[in-house]
Amino acid sequence: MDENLKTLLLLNSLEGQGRKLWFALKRGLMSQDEFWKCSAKLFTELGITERTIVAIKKKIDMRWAETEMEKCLKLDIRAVGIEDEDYPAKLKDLKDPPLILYWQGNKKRIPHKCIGVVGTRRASTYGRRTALRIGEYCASAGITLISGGASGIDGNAHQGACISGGKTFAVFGTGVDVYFPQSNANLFREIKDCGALISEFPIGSQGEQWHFPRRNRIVAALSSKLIVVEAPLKSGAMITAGFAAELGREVWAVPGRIDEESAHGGNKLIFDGAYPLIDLKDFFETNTRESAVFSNDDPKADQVSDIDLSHEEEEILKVLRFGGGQTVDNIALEVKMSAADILKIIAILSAKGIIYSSGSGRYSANV
Amino acid sequence: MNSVSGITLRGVKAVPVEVEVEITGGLFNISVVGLPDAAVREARERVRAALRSVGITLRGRVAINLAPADVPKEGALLDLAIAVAIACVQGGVKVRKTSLFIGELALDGRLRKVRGAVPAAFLAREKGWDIYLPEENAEEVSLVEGVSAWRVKSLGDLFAHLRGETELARVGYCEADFTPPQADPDFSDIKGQSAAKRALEIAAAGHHNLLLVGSPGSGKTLLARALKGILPPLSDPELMEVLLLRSTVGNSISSVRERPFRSVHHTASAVALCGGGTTLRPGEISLASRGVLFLDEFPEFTRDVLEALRQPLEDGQITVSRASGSVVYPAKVLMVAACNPCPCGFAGDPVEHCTCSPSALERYRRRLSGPILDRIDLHISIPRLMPEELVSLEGKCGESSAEVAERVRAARDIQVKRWSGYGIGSNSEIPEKLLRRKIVLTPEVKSFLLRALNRVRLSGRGLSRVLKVSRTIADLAASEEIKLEHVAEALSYREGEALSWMKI
Repeated sequence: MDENLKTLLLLNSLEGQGRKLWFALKRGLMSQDEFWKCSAKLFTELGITERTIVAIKKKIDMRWAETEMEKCLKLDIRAVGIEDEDYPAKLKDLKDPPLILYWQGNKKRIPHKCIGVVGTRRASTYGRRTALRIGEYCASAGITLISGGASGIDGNAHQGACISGGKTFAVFGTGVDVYFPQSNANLFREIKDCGALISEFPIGSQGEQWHFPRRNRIVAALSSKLIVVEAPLKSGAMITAGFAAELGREVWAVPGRIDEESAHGGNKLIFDGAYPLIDLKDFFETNTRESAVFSNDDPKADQVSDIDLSHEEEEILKVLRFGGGQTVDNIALEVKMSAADILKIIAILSAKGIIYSSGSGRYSANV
Repeated sequence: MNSVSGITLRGVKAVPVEVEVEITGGLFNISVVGLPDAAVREARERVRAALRSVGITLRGRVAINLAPADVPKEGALLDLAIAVAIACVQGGVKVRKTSLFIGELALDGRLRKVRGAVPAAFLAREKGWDIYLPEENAEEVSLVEGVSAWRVKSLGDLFAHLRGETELARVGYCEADFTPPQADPDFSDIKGQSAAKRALEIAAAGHHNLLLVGSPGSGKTLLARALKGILPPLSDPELMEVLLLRSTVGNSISSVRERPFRSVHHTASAVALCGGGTTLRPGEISLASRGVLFLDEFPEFTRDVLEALRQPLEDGQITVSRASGSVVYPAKVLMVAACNPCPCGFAGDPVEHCTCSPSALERYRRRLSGPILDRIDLHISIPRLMPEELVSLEGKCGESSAEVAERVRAARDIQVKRWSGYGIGSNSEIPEKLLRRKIVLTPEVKSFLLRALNRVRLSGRGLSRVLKVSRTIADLAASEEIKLEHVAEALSYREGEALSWMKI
């Protein structure tokens, strides 16, 4: 068994104090053997608290690290140590990079250029839709998408990347084998195929409240550009944006309506100097050129222009493009058609995927 | 000797109960045998007082036997039969022809309204008997053709008639009025909501169950009520079925050919909904038979109530089994379910904000899924209109219910003609086998449907529902061929499509 990894696993599970011990090991103040012998005197000299020493002793006695490694084998989870060559280099920008990344999924490495997408769990239809499309664009541009696997914005961004055959990684605030929220379980299985689930928390960890801000710092560190899709002022997404700004990552925000609480965060970021994301196509063209994987697969633009639309369809689409969230009756006031005809055309347009239902009985156009 | 009979109810059927009386000497006492329930036992006091009011004073030991002895008897409607049987023995009254007597007695000899008059009339017609019933029940019985019925105001009048002194009035047959009932609310009273109105039209035309999702105040209940107004009036056999049920529970009839509309509160128990109880009453689903069953706040119903609804929705009838035997009630309803999009009701609203937590949302939506939703063909979300939108719709009232009802009727006629050989009456009932054989799509429509299926991830059952709804939409357009626009519209009423904005 890999002694080094075993030590790291144990240290990782000790959180802050584990980091201290790891530095001690690195600087040669203590050898691995000495660590496993667990001398209280040496530990106290290194500034380790009484409680942690007891915890370490207990874990060594119950062979915690060995069991953890067995669990990894059984569940097909890789534990990537901080010194492993697969360990994402960008994480080392953090002042407290995780010592171990638990890793479950097909993809073994995270590319250097990734886009992070974060946002509220209580997203509007507009927000979810935007997240989904960012995911799709990422996939067709060949850019990896990183997010937190939560419901709402996170989930939709992952979803968009998955269904369009892109690469995406979900960073968990729980153990990689604990699916939270349960409603995303199917999505997580898909992500395992087209990317990986990663977490710094030991196998089986439940989602403690303080885990999530820690998770956010990993999302921020792994992304080269972070997009905040929809976020209220006080939210995990804003914390992530804060980390990203500190680490010198580019922060982008999708502008929202000023009377919506869930858009305050994003708008505030723009006010504070984040880039406003006003055109997805533009954003991805610029980014793909940078990463030199230029591709012409613009998912939406082709699709829309390819389809021949009848005169009536064009007319209704025009109304919806001008302002979304219209009911059938609103459209009937704008165009000279009967409500029954409008319904028919709306049905065809949404079956073709040109418009979508943006709220209870309301329709908007896909740009 | 001609027997005196009353009835007791068994489901929606009347069972004849022969009343026999023996009076012997001894101390005054009345006893009733033959499985009487409390109401029947208490008849002793009512009968005694009523008889006294017409001058017959009971003396001695009075034994009353209700035959057949092993059928439980219920209700106060046996009062009259018992009084007549006693009068035959002691009061010089003669029954010249075997007859049914039903009615509850007041202490002063008047007759009160009873439930079960229509089943009794059916029984009398079948056996060729006469039937005597309270004045207040005459109206409902007058709708039944071929019954020899007499209206009775009081015990005194009846005895005078039986003694041949005076003649009671007969209950004449009057055919139910065919003029369609006034729709209330009328479609033209509902502002906007064209999409929902269209869905109601399809539901009415093809007998498809419907789910309305919308914020509070968006008009779900109003729309559901308006559905009644566009359904074709009850046909004669349907009218008889409805009449039977209403009479069994003692509901009055207002507008005769109007279809029933039953709105059920979500605290209703499975028994209240499906029927049963110790005395075996039809449930709401049977009372709504041939009409609309409206379940507001659908996710708030308990799971076992919704599960209990599944079988009757499928079979169009419900069998209630008790230790004393089982009865079958009709349950051919058009189910309209309504719910809010989330616990606070404002998810997806353009102005109000949803304040529900993600986990509360998830719990709510999980309750919204499940097997019962599989029985719902049409899903539709209803926008809550902004004040400015309401103002802009002022003066545009759209079609009246009568115009829509005309189209619905035409579409129903087409279906009846097409499916009459297969024993089904509407598109929603097409069995799977027939669906594959009889619903043929052109290659162009087929490829369109296939593409759409990939997008919305439709199950096999979902697909057949889309086909059935497409068939109805084509019938409404009087088109024999199912065109692309019909399929596209049917797809838009699918759960995944209509409620896509609700996804978490």
